Amino acid sequence: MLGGEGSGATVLKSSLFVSLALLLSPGGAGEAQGVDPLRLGKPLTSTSCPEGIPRAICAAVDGGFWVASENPPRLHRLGVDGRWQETLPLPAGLTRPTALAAIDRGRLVIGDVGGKVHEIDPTGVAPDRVIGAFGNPAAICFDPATASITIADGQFDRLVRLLPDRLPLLLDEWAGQRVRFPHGLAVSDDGALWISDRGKHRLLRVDGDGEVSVHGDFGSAPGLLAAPMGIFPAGSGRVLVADRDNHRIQVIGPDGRALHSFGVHALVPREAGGRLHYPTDVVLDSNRAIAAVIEPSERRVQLFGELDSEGGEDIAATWERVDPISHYGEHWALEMGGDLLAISEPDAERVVILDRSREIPIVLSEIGGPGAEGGRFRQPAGLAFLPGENPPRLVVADRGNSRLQIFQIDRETGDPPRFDPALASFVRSVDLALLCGTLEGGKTRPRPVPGAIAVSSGGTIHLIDEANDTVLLLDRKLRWVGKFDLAPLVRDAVGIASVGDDTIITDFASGRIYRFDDRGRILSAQLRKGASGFGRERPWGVAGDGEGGLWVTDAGTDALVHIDSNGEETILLVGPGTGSRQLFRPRAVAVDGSGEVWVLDHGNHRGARLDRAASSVRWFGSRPYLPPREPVASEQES
Amino acid sequence: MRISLLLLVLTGCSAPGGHPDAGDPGVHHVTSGDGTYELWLLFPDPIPANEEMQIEGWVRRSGAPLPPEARLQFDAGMPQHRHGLPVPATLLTDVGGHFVAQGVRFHMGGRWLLVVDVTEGPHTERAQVWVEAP
Repeated sequence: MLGGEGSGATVLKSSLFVSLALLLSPGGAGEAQGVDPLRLGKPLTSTSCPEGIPRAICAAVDGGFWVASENPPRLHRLGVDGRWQETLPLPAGLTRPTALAAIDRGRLVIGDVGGKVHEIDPTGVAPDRVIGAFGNPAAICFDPATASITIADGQFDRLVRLLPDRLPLLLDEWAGQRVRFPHGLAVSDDGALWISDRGKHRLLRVDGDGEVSVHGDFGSAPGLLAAPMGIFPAGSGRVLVADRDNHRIQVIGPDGRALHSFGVHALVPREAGGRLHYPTDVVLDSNRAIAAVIEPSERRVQLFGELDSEGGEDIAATWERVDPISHYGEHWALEMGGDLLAISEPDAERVVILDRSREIPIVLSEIGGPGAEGGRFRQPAGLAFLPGENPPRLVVADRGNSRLQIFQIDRETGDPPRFDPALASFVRSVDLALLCGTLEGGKTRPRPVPGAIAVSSGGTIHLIDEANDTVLLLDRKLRWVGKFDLAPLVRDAVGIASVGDDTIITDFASGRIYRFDDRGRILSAQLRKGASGFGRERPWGVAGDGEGGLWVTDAGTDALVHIDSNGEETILLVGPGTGSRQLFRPRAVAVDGSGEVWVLDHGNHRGARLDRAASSVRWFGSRPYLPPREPVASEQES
Repeated sequence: MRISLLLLVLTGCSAPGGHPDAGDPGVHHVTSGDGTYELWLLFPDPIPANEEMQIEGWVRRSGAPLPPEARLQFDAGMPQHRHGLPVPATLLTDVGGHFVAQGVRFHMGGRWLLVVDVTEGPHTERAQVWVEAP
């Protein structure tokens, strides 16, 4: 999420500024011309982060790259040869880095999910200092021409520029264009500021005169984008864009045209060699010869160089695009007393409805598509069936539009499973910002960001508001019932379950599992057995087992854990891996009426269903991320 | 796509007060998904094939006109064919829930789904009608 560095000056008004910019820029005086960005794409190496999950990257002034990781929080130095050179602890208070940028004199600016932005000196000479606090500093960009630092605040959907004296200047609107979840910033060498508007699948380009142009839209064709994130200047006004959910890097020209791309979706789990899996950032090294791409979902960095002049496989050209953006997301829901399974697929801005009565669930319908109209989504997240409804009704958190939507699924009982695009219809929605109000005690509150959902047996919807660390309570018609606060104890609520009168919340940040009563009072806060709270344990999905215990997925240890009513743990599946008893970044977990446990194996793009003892584990998956194809009989014979 | 009462009057549409009877030719009558609203849609009879037409509508809540702050959205499409209208319709709204959707063209024969979303405050509820285009 770094831009600006190495881009040269922006609006260079004088030779003095030109000289200064070239000196400050790592690709400054005497820099090599580097690779033509339209020739980038040759896979050089793929390397796993030595510790933790890589979250942010920038080019080091003296060569190579800096990579910030979480879980544990570390700063790693990566050479252009793909070898890790050193690992440093991050200063206290930096637990989950979000963005990283190199500024002058080798110092780094690093943002944390907690909101603070630190200026640090990797050599340890200068002390760490906090230079600002934001909602969620999702991207940081240093402009050497003005010595200013621009920060994209992904929580308040705005940009803040820190001037050289670190005074903040708010930049929140351009020609009426509001951004939604900005996650990338760059200053190209023609002086334009580029913003990746992740929530709206587009790029904004603001030229030196303040003129705004908007480029891209949701899709997979060249020039279209799916959740764009990091941007990096590539010379001649062009930028590299991490087109995250299209699993590729695009080169975009100053007029918004797509000029080149490299990387395609991996077909086999963990596949590298130029195939990408949710790339979140791309940077060029100081010599502009090597592009580094981070893929947090694979916990790795891939390096790319110049394509061979002749020969070599053009992966993108040879890949048969089937449905390039169709993956199980992080949330799913089971219909109790019925056969339906609903899965969020934020990559495609849709929810898929399946019949789960068969050994392999069958897709019945799809809801959504990108947009803000009723029935469409911007990043569908948590979802749950409302109990006791006939026909079944599904409530879905529409994260980017800050609303909840309810759909009705008009399926005749006993119908054989078949695909019907009109099976589900939009019934109603509620705008959470309007419902909750954005002012509280005269203080502006962040717009609600709906996440996981649970519904009590009585039909009260419990919704995690990630932006305000609260649980919102609504009735079946999405009317206000109440709320309870999770802060300050819970800092990153990701999973929720309704168990009897209690609400269970998993806190990714602290590793704890909280139990609240029906009035929002904390009854217990539990770490996984043996966990210190600072280890790798990161509970995510949670569901009651019907006997006083819990099923929990642990995204830190890639495990499915059963915790009985006495707190005794049994680990049934553990990873990371793709084996028949392994998981990779597991997310939601649910238990059906027969006691069968359903685990969303998000990192492997598949689901698992198993009995309580895990004596039988059965898998099903989404296209096109498939295990290696078994040879057909004719091939075996030949 | 909201234009004032003046424009609606200029189009020569029916008076905004009363809605047609559900049994009248070309009239479709439905309730919204949660039963909050009633919707009457008046189509040309017969529905023209691949020609622009206007569809007049009335929305009522508990038999009463909608409050002035209520907002309406109109759209149509063929879910089975995964497409919408070839050109978005222009919606002329009146007070009380009376509206006219202009420029509606069913460019393909078959089942079309028409939707009207009613928004009051933070809440939006949908009424929908299936029609068969020639």
